Formats: sequence, structure tokens, C-alpha cells
Amino acid sequence: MRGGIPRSPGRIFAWGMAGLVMLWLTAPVLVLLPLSFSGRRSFRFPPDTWSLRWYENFFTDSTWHASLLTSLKVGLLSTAASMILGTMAAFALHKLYFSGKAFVTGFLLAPMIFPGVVSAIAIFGVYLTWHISGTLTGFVAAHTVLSLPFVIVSVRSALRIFDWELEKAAASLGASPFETFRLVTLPLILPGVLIGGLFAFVISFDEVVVSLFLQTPFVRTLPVQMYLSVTESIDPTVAAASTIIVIVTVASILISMLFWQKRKTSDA
Amino acid sequence: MHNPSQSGASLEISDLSKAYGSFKALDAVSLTARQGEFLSLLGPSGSGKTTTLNMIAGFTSPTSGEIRVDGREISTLPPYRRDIGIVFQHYALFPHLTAAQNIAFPLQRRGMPRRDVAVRVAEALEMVKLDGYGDRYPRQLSGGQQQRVAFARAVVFKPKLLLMDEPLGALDKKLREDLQGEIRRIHRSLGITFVFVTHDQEEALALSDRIAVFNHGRIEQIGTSRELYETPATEFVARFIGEANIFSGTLVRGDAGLALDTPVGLLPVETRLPAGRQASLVVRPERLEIGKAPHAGSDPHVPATVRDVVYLGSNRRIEIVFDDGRTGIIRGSGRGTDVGAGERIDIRWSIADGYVVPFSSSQTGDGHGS
Amino acid sequence: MLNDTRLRWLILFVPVAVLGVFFWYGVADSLWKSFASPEIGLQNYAAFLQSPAEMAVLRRTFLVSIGVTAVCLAFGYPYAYLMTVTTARLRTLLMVVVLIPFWTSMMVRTYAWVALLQNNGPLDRVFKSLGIGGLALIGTPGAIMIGITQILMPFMIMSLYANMVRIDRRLLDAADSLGASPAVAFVKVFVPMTVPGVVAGCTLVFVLSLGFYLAPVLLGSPQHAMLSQLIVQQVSQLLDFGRAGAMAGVLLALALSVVALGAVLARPAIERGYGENT
Repeated sequence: MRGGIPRSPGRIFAWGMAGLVMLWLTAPVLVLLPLSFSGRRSFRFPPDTWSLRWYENFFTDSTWHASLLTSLKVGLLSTAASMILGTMAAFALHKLYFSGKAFVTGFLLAPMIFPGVVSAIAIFGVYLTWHISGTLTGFVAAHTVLSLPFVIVSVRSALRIFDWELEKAAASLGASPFETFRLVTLPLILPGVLIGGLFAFVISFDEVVVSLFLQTPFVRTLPVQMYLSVTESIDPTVAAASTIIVIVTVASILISMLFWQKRKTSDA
Repeated sequence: MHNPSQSGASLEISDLSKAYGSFKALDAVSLTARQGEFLSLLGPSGSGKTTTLNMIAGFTSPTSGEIRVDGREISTLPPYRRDIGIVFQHYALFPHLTAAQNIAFPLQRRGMPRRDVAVRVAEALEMVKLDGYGDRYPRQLSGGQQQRVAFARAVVFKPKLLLMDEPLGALDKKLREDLQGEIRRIHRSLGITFVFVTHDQEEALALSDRIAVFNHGRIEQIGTSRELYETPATEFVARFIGEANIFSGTLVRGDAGLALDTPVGLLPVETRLPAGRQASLVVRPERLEIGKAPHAGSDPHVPATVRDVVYLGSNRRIEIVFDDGRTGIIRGSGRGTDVGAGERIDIRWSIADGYVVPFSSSQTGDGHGS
Repeated sequence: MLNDTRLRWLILFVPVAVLGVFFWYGVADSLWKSFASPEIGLQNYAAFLQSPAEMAVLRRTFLVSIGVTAVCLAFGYPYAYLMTVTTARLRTLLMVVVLIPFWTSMMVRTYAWVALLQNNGPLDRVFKSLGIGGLALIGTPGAIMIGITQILMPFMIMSLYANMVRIDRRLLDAADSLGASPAVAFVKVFVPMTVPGVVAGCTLVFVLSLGFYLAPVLLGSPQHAMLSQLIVQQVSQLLDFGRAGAMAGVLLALALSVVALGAVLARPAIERGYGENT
């Protein structure tokens, strides 16, 4: 290796720091796995007895599995909505030239850097008066606006490398604007749209602060249910739920990666 | 097989202009292409030839003027309703579709039954000598092969007009020459009207029935290769098409007829331009003869110094410097051209081999990167 | 979609309208209420800025955010640097370790710290067995920082890495060949070129940590509250949207000025061409 940090001592120091970071990032999640198999109603670590009762509880206690279902519903609906809206926005922004475009772009992307709590009270305040707080509609609307910027960013970077000559070619061959989009543009920017969608789903599936305001005992997402459980009682079902969330997240990433791989090989 | 008069469209462009603010990208251009003709639009970059092509295709809307195909005004039609084939500079093949799927694309858009599509695609692949390559994706094809697919895709739906935007620009010289031959062959067999944009005058000369020379958003001259070379309308055309020795000055009437009064002397000319006009005399390099002593006859002649001699096999290219410091070129073969650098010579030509073009201020526009 | 500008405007209008109605209207509404609820005036801001307890919260929020940013930078910089110089296989490992937590639920990760840091929890017992008694972190700003840092570290590392990976290493070799020692070359040549990445990463981490809610609530304590808790309290317990709006307004102004400051700080370096091509 040439250049850079003074060879041995610097390198050793850097790897030491990196090792700590790796431990810091991964260890906490690994702790949860044994905790979810605990035999007792305690967060004692490591557990002294083992059981599957917290998983059983998760799937039999309706407050838990209903919240998982709600989370999946909200996640899929808001992902679909923000994928469509985000693709539209990115596409139009790429094609339109006007003064004030930077402002409109900021308008669309700002929720990304808004402090979570600020978004939460802003959304809660008006959704309450519109009576969509505590409804599936409210959850989907809130999660859609929060994940929309991420889809826009992802689709925009796909559009940046898209060759616009291809749209001209399609038009010259007789494809209407809609056919051009469906048959040429969309298939080629699909990776960007899908990555955006993956972001959107994970953001929705993960969201706590806004959902905490919007939740009712009847419509409650899984992270909210976990939050309430952690703050209100000692219930290792949380650990089981965490393990399930990790599995769902990792699975959705793996599935999208597999899908990817397949597309790539079918292209080649 | 094809009757050219039926399969090619006529193209008429009249007073076509495109302005971007105060900048005129195209200034009242008019031209026509006959049915089945091979017309090249030739000019340096920024001369308006690509703007013209984009307006025929419908990608750019004209500020004013008309475009007619077979007598029908098309300026208001969107590009996808124009039924014009286009071969793009960088081919613009759809990377997610195979060669066959690319070629099938325009047929499917026209609702052709699947079985007919397959037949036509196979024919098209055969026409461009790519049978067996249908299942390849564009990135699995060489540049020349991609070019052929792009060409097949642009003609498979039997458009009556085919536009080509520097289609050979990205290929190396040998491949270009092969493909030029093929383009001519296909043009003859299909009978489609071709409009070919290029900045390469040799390519235009080799391929075209006629050439329109563009400069600064205007057409300088439209004519056959021979007309452009032998009777250029302007100094720009003379410089852009082939090589030229150019002498500028004022026409004067002397005792032996008209002559051009230039810094290197009084040069007898034949022209219909009246005395007193500013004009330029164009003499092609291969029309010049070299003498070792000043010419004694009545032919025009100019003293010069040889600067460099380049041996090119079948002929020599001799760079010379006139006494006013301007440079010139001689091409020739045989003993007469056996000169060396630094040698003083006398060059001469037959009065009929000089061609006089009127002086115009736009001719100074060769700072334009030609 | 080639020529129909009206269609494009329509396509732009739909997402803008959705975001306008379901997000910006609420933001405008809560800012409006901060000036107008219960009556028009600046009393909500005055009450906030004049309350010593609430100012202490604001100060704590600021300090914790700075602490988090500093720790993320201190640990993230060598990490990102190693990612740019190590072998492909090790780089993949480093990358995966950063990305997997990034994709894992924030709630899960925060809860994991609750389990780890609790009184008589695993870390507590490790420390006790080492004879360092009474190091119960839960309920302290330290615990909050540990939790937030874990969540924001990937943002810092990815920002730094995105910048470092574009740096032309030949410049370092050139410095070497001109006789600079590796350490000098690193400090004088490499570090200045990473300024845009450092500024971008720090801005992002600082702004995000300002608004953190989960970690302070679950890992902190009411005595060590952060501003986000105060805002939530105003809304959920007192339904005082005016006071909450004022606090949110201050938080937002703070966040936006940090973003603006970051843009200003990064500009000279970007102009010198070390830039991120944004």
C-alpha cells in the first residue's frame, strides 16, 4: 500500500478504531437474539433458561401480530405511493427548466433533513383536525411524505446516467410518449426506482416518532408497539419482535438483491 | 423489387429558421430532396445542419418556415407520427433489448402481427449481414455491428425518408469505408430518400447525389459533388470542399481581358463578374503546374517558394509559400513535381482552371473550426 | 414526454401537491400556531427563551449533538480511510458492517442498548467484575450519546468514504516523491482534500442528532431531557401546539443554519477542486 497513513503504527491505530466501530455497530443487535429465547419474563442477559414462549406470544397476542400486519400494510402502501410520486417528481424535475427549480427541489427534498420531532408535530397537528390521525390513511400519507425524498434522490441519480437520445430514438420509431416511458425509460431507470422503493419500505417499517403520535390502540405499527412495550413493561416479546424485524429487513434486502442479480444475468 | 419513385419521399424545406434569443441557429434555409435522392448536409459543427435534421425529425420546433414531406406539411406533427427513420450518431440502441428486439420495436409500435414481425426482423438482419446475431444485446456487439443494427432498425418499418446524423463518426477509417459502400448499396436497393448529416467532406463527396453546404446557419451552395468542387459558389465552399489555392483582390480590366489584382501580382481570369468587384480566385492543387523559370506565355503564373514536399505514393503534396506570405498547395505526380524544400519555383495554370467567386464578408468565417 | 411541457408540469404538480398538503401544510400550520396560539404574538418564543430549565435542555441538546458529531468523526475517519486503502475483500467486510445496522430498525437498535446498558445488565456486570463499580450508564447523557452515535455512525462513514474514494492517490505518491514523510504527506495533502467529506458528514450527523427522540427517551431520563422530548411533551401531554411550535421553530432554525454553515464551510475546499460534484 502506497501513500497515506504512516505505515505500521498509524495502520494499527486505524484498525483498532475500526474494530471498536464494528463491535459498536453489530454487538447490540446480536445481544437481542439470545434474549428473545429467554425462559423468563426478564431482560437478564444471558438468559438462564430457554424457551420459544415470546415468539408464541408474538403470534398469539393480537396486539403484537396485528401491529406487524399494520406495519406491513402501511409499508407496502406507502412504498408504492412514494415510488410512483417520487419517479414522477424526479422525471419532471429532470425534464423541466425554470427559474425556481432549486426551490421546488428543496421543497420536495426537505423532509429528509427535517428533525423527526418537527415533522411529527407538524403532521400530527393537521392530521388530527382532518380526522386521519389514527387511521391507515394517515399512516400511509405520513410515511409516504417522509420516504418520498429518498425515492426522488435515488431515481434522479438513475436519470442522470440515462441516455436521453434513447427517447428520441423511440419517438422516431413510432413510440408515443407513454410507450416510450413504459418500454424504454422505465425499464432502464428501474434499478433507481427499486432502490428508492427499498429505502421507502425500510423507512416506513422503521418509523417511530411520527407513528407514535398517529397511533391508536386499534391502528398501531410494530415499532410503536415495541416502544410502548419497552416503556410500559418488561416483556421479552420485544426481543422476539426485534429478531422478526431484523429477519424481515434482511429478507427484503436479500430479495431485492436476488432480483437484481437475476435481472443482470438475464440481460447479459 | 422496389420502385424508387414509390418508396422514397420528396422533402421540401422552405425558409426554415430557428432562433435561440438573438442567436440564429438557422437562418431562412430552403432546400429540396427529390424522391429517392441521397442528399448530404455538410458543414462545420454549429453550422446548422444538425438543427435542420432535428427539425425534420421533430425534436426541435422551427421558429418559422415549413417542412413538407411528399407535399404534406409536417412541422406540427409530433416525432412519433412522422414516420421518418433516423440513424443516430451514437446509434441509440436500447441496451435492455436484443438486436432483434431493437429491430422489432418500430414494427410492434405499428401493431404488426407477431409472425410478420419475425419475418421482417430476419430480413432486416440479413440485409445488414447480421444473420445469427439477433439474440445479442447491443453491448455484445462491436461498434460496426451496432451501427448495422441501428441502420436496420431505422429502415425496417419502410419509412420513405431516412435521416442519418454522422452515423459513421464513431468508427475507424477502414470500417467507415466498408460501411459507406454498404450504405450506397442499401440506398440503391431500397429507393428511400436519404438525408445524411456529416462534417466530413470526403464522406459527403463519396456518398451523395447532391450536397448542401452549411455555414453559420445558412446554406452556401447546393449541388453535386462535381459542381461544388469545380464551380464553388463561395470562398467558404471552395475551402471546405477539397483543398484550394485562393487569391483575393479586385477585378480590373486590362488590355488582355479581365484580371484580378492581388498582392502577388495581376492574375488573368475568366468570369462574368464586372470589373471593380472584390473577388477571390480559386485554383485546385492538381491544376497547378510547376515551372523552374517564370512563365513566358499568357497563362496566369505566380512565383513561390517550396516549403515542404510530402510523398504520398501515387502523388506528391507540395506546400508552397507565396511572396505575400500566404501558403498554397500543389498536388501532382511525375518529373515536374520533383522539387525540394526551399527551392524557388514558378507556378502556373490554364486560365480556364481558375474559378472566380465573389468576395463576401461571411467568407471570413473560417475561424469557425472547419 | 418529449415535447409536451404541460404534461410534465402536471407530472411535477402531483407529488408537489401531495407533499404540500400532507407535509408542508402541517409545517406551516405549526409555525403559524407558534406565533398565534393562544393569541398573536411572540409569547411562545419568549416563554421558551426565558425559561432557565428549557434553556438548559436546549444547551444539553446542542452539547450532546456536538459530542455525537465529534465521536462519529473520530471513529469514522480512520474507518472510512481504511475502506479506501485496504483490499477488496476487507473493504466489503467494512462496508457490510456499516450497511447492515443502517438497514436495521432504529427501534431495535435503541432497544438493544436498553438491554445492554440497564442496571445490572451485561455491560454493568462486566464493569463490576472488572472492579469498576457504579458505572450504570442508563439514564445519563452518556447513554444517549452511545445510542445516537451507533445509529448515526454509518451516515458519517458513508459521507467520508464518498469523498475519500474520489481523491487521487497519486497526489500522495507525488508528495512522497518530493520528500515529504508519509505522516506529513497525510496531514498536509490528504487531510485537506477530505474537508468537503468531513463537513458534509458532520453537518448531516449534527442535524440528525438534534432531532433525535427515541434514544433520549429510552436511554436518558427526564432529568436529562433533550429538546425533542420537551416538544413531544408539550403536544402529547399539554396539547399546547403553540409552545411546541415555538420549540420546533427554534430546533428547525438551528438545523437549517447548521446546514447553511456547512455549505459555506465546504465551499472554499470545493472551489479548490477537492469537491463533491453536487
